[in-house]
Amino acid sequence: MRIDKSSALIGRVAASGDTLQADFTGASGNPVSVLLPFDQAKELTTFLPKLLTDALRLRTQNDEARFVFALDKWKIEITSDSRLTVTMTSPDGFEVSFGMAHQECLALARALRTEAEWPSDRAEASIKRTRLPQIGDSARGVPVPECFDSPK
Amino acid sequence: MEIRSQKLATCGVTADGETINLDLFDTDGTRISLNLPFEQAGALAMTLPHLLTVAVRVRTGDDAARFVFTLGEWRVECADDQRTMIVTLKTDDGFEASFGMPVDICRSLAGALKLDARYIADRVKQTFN
Repeated sequence: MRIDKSSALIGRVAASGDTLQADFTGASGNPVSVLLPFDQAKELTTFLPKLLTDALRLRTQNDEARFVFALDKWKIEITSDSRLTVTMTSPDGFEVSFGMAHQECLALARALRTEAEWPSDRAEASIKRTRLPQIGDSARGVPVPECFDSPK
Repeated sequence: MEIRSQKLATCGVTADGETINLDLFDTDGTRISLNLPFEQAGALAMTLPHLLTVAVRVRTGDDAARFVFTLGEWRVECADDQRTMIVTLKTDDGFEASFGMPVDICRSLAGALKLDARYIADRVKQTFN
């Protein structure tokens, strides 16, 4: 089922909070509503950015292309279990929150500081772990059930 | 048309990168293939985290609740212009988001993170003393 390219997407949440709904317009002009249980929406949220990066690389023919949101606002909160939640928001409304332990937070702060102090001297990125994202391996139309395993 | 997903099946990108294909099974067990143009898939990806947060608030009855990803790894790099820092935060299950920011904002964020991390570290230390 083909979805129209230019119509506005409307997102909703059921009154129970258990189902998320995405309202599209089909290519033939008919409304198409996709209802996802919370857990499936969570899985799709996790997986979709990888697919988009893969698509972007195919569109641009650039294997290093990726989405980078401009940072508009950020917020750091301390949770009751002594962890930190960092929320980053882009000007166009994309907002994502990451929870981390204080040690990770401190290490991230150090890396940010280091890069900010000597950006032109840094030929390579500061990488906390050597494992880099394997984007696109699973995005060629083959069955990828592992992609939709419930996030831990 | 209303599609109630029972199970997500497969996914893929067309060779030209213009379309994201999402296959799912509806509640009748019928396999449905959704062909999302790149722009619509992008809109969905941007909308979903917010919807998850709304859902968490409804489910918990707490207006301050939010959907939080657990940080798995991160990466900080300098963009080619040497003035923009790119921070990529990732979860262990594959979600990632990259944000670009000017150097001065990067410093501010670093300072705030350090301050809050130290506050937590002190609090944890006091708890154990």
